Amino acid sequence: MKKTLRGSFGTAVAALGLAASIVVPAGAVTVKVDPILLKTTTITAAATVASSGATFDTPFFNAAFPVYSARNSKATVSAYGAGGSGAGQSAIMGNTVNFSASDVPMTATDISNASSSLSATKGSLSDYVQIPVALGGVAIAFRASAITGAKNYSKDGFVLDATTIAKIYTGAITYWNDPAICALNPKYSVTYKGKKSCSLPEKAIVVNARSDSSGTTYIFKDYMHAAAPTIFTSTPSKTTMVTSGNGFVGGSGNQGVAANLENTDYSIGYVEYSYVLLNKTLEAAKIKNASGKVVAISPASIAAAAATKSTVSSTDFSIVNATGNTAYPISGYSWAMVRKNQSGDSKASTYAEAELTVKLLDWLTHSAPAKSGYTFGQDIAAQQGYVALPAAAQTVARNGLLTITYNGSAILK
Amino acid sequence: MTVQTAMQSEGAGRNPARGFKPRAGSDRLYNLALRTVAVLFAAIVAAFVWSVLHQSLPAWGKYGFGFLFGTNWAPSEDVFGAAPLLLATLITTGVALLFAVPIGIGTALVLTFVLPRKISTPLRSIVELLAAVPSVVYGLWGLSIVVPWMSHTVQPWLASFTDSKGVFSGNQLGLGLATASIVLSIMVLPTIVAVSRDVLANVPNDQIEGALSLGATRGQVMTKVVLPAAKFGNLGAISLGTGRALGETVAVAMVIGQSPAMPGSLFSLGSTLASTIAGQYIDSQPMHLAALGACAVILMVLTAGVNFLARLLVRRTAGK
Repeated sequence: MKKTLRGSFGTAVAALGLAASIVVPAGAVTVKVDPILLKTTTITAAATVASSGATFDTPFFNAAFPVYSARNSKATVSAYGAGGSGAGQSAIMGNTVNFSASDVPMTATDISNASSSLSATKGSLSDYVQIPVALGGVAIAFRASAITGAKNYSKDGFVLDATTIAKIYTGAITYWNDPAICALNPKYSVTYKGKKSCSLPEKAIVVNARSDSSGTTYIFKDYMHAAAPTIFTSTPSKTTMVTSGNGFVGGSGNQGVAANLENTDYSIGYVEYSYVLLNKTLEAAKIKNASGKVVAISPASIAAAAATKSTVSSTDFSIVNATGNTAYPISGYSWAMVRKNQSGDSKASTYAEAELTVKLLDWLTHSAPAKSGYTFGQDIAAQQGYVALPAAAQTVARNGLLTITYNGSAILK
Repeated sequence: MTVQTAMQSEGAGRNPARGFKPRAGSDRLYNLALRTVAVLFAAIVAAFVWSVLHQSLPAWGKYGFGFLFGTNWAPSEDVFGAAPLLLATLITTGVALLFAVPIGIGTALVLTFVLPRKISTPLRSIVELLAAVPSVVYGLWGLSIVVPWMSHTVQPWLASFTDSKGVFSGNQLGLGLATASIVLSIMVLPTIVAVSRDVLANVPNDQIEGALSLGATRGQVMTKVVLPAAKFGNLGAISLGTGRALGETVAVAMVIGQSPAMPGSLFSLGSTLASTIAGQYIDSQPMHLAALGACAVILMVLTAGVNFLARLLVRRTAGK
């Protein structure tokens, strides 16, 4: 019974996958398809891979894995274990997964801090390959009825910049009508006896932050530290910003922060972009970027920010505070970690398992060539509210995967 | 339930099967199996307690008992003091019991002695059903219904009674200690009602009838006979409720604001020991993890203390 159910589910997914991916009808323009990508769904023998890590990637992987499995009857991709970036790092060091994901690339310190019970196999940073797998943005979400209800809101939006955001999060700005915020939003004004004055509400700002450790917090702190270093002085980390001293409202997970914002008027917080799309009562502030341009968060503006850095790597990964007319400055990549020598210390027990790991990652990190009619990992990511990796980042991922070996020879060819 | 079981065995006297030496082989095997299970259980408990203690050692090493009194919980600065968390835990539990105990025991009295069986039986099943509702459901209800209601209606009303420094002062966000207390009181209510009702139902009928025949009014029977006779059982009910309130995690985390501020009033945001552990455990840095482990130790000591105190009270008064 169970078997049949599973079988029919598999077939259904396979049918979906095929429908989405079958090559365009005869007569269409022939498109040059990446030769490695063409081979990424063919595996020499049956194999199963396991993965775990950051919750950031969960919706993406949950949507992409069944599609990949459906392409190849030999491939079994186990469900993604979403236990957080730290759990993912421990899992890859302990060889309990074939690859794992983290919002911030693993560092040498992470490896030396890892539990000593793993020390037999954890190795050093050079034993791992880290590649970007997903791209997303952090929205400055707020709820302030007097602002969003204003006549000019739909036209002008509400603008903040790095300085005001950093001051809000360090306690230097506490009111919505602070002169610095008024200066950024000149359209919110009333004229009384010929004198113009700010019409933003005289209400205290209720500051929201993540109460748990989070990659979103890292990206947000990274932005404030990069763009307003004299105000937000501490170096970025995933650790919560809520302390006994500052009285921020803490929320667990993006959904927790979003729920608190929804329930509290005159509140501000930061959440992943998709949560603003999901919650109709929340609005995202427009951000004045380092080039002085006011940019709203959107897949295009996040992609524009990512495009400004073509040489992203696991040691130089920050894309916050990007410049340009259309670049949204608070965004970041999520990273996958794999063992470099798959025949050495790694979870892979067969060549096919190593092969599946690498080929799955190659498929996940690439978009289908335009007009080819295929659906690859990044196409699915874009459907799930992420932004497809820019071409340069896809190349970075491919180059990383090319260095992974089994018995001394590269797996991807 | 532990308290109740302890009470029952107290009254039951010596178990005749205890100390019996088995002779037949099958008996010996049975005995061995039971002993193994018992030892295994004790070992699991010991291993569990040891691992929690072990994890918390770095925090105790760094702060000592000052950890209990430190007023700043700031993971981003690697500074950990548990006082705000401990206070939030005690305040929410205390306020919750303030509501839940009189209402709970009152409801149990009404269910047992006042309402006709036709009404009390379905009401009883409803109360028992409430005890089985998962806490996340209470949390959702708290966040979507109680939080807005508090911030729009209750908090402004309460605030009108005090000045800017009183118990009902501060931001009226809806989230916070007051809301968490209310949600908690409703969560522990069914536990208290269910246990207390069982206890009241066990008060010997001849005592009640005796008092009535002596001319006691119904109210006098309740206050002079039923409640004193059910005192220990009710204490058990209250301690069970206290245990639940102290350790409640998800529902509290959803409505308390998850902010480890030193409570200034009942409207302050807060974060209890349990909600902090749940909210911050994943992906923490080494000292942060140790501090959360230390919070777990405090919580274990608190709940064990409540249980122990209840047993002690029961034993002491039962001996009189």
